[in-house]
Amino acid sequence: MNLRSVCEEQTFQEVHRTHETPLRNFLFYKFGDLEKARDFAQDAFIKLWHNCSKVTFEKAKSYLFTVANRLFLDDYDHQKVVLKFQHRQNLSESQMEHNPEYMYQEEEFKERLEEAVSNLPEKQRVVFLMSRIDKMKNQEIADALDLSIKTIEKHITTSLKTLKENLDEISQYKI
Amino acid sequence: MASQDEHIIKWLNGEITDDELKQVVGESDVAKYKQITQEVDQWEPENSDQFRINVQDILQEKKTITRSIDWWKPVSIAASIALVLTVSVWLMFFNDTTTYYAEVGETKEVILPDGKSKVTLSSGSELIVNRSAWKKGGRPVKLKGKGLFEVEPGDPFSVDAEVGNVTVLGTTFTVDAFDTSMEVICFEGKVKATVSANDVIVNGGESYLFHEDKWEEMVPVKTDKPSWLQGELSFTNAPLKQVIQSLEKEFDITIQTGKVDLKRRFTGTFPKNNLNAALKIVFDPLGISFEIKDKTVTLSK
Repeated sequence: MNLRSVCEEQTFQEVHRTHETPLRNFLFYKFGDLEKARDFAQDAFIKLWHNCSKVTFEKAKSYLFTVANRLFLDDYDHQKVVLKFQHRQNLSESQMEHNPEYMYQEEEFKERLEEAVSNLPEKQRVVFLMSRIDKMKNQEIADALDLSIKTIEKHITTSLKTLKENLDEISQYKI
Repeated sequence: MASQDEHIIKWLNGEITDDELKQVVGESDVAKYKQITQEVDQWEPENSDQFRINVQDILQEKKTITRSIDWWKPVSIAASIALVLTVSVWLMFFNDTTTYYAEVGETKEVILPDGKSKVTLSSGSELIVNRSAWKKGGRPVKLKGKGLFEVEPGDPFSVDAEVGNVTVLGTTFTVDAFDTSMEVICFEGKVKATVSANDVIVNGGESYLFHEDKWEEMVPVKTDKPSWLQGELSFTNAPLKQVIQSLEKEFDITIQTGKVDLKRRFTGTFPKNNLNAALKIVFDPLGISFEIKDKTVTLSK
């Protein structure tokens, strides 16, 4: 069996390429500060590089997420989060399907949804966004966060239903 | 309801079609779920491209640490990088510079260019900040005198106190540079202080003094803020020179030390608003008498 070592620069770079964005975004979904999220993610990569001889290639992902999560728990004073998103630039108009069940202007719908997403409980929000934005498979999220796949599925469905209820409520009061 | 959830997850996973889900949750809900997921699917964090991790930086950091200081491994490497950064950053230190000064008898709060870290200067102390140096990935400041630093996590932070320097990632600590000595008290986190080639790691709650060419560990601190923020000055086994400089800065006076032995140490607390009481508290127990004339205090045995 070919055991790959994270201590090799090429392998480490591959780990970095694969997990940089998901790891940083995972932290961003938790507290909404992208710069700080980047810093914690970077610290996690530094720790992995230090301990490269002790962490196998297969375990690198869950190691990174565990370390990053601990940095977050140790360091961050938990406030109400406000998440701000932008639309991906590389998306063509035709890919954006219009489906106006909620009768909002495009930008207003985005803002409502952004607010509803920010108001989701942390765990649900994080898992839901990892699934939708970072396109991670449920099993991949389960591995990264050391949770069961059942829990991941539960968080995703609950999030989606909560978002719908939240938007339903707001549109009721809409004139 | 459980079966509804199962259908939703299957639909999200692409295992069943829109129509199959419609039969379970209704047409309108499916349309709403679609509208929500399609919107979120094209999101990314705002300014996503600005905050990336440079893998080369990380690969290089390891080389720095294995060459130099192994015993210091638990501390983040970024602090040692800060040393390198500070050196290069000094070269550009002469433009875009702001100097802050705490008037005598006052303290001054300075919010640093990262918008979140804070320095509180003690009476008569000075802080020099170069903004353009901060834009280049370090957070260097120069200090003359005494200050409390509350550093938020971020780029490597370093204090050049002329006598020596202190580097850090994010923490709360004070630096008091006097004469050729320097005192570092760390209230939170961990800092590295360097004078000439002598390093010391100061952990939260610890206090170190560089005096007469060596570091000595002082009595641990039990508070989370220095005493000089609370209307008094407190010293434990402090060199007399340090106490005298504090008195001079606090009360805007000059102290003529004459033949008094400055190698002695002082332990005690005195008020910041009463010169006579302060002098009595410091010098009486040491058997030193003093005379105040205008702004000069003359000591004698």
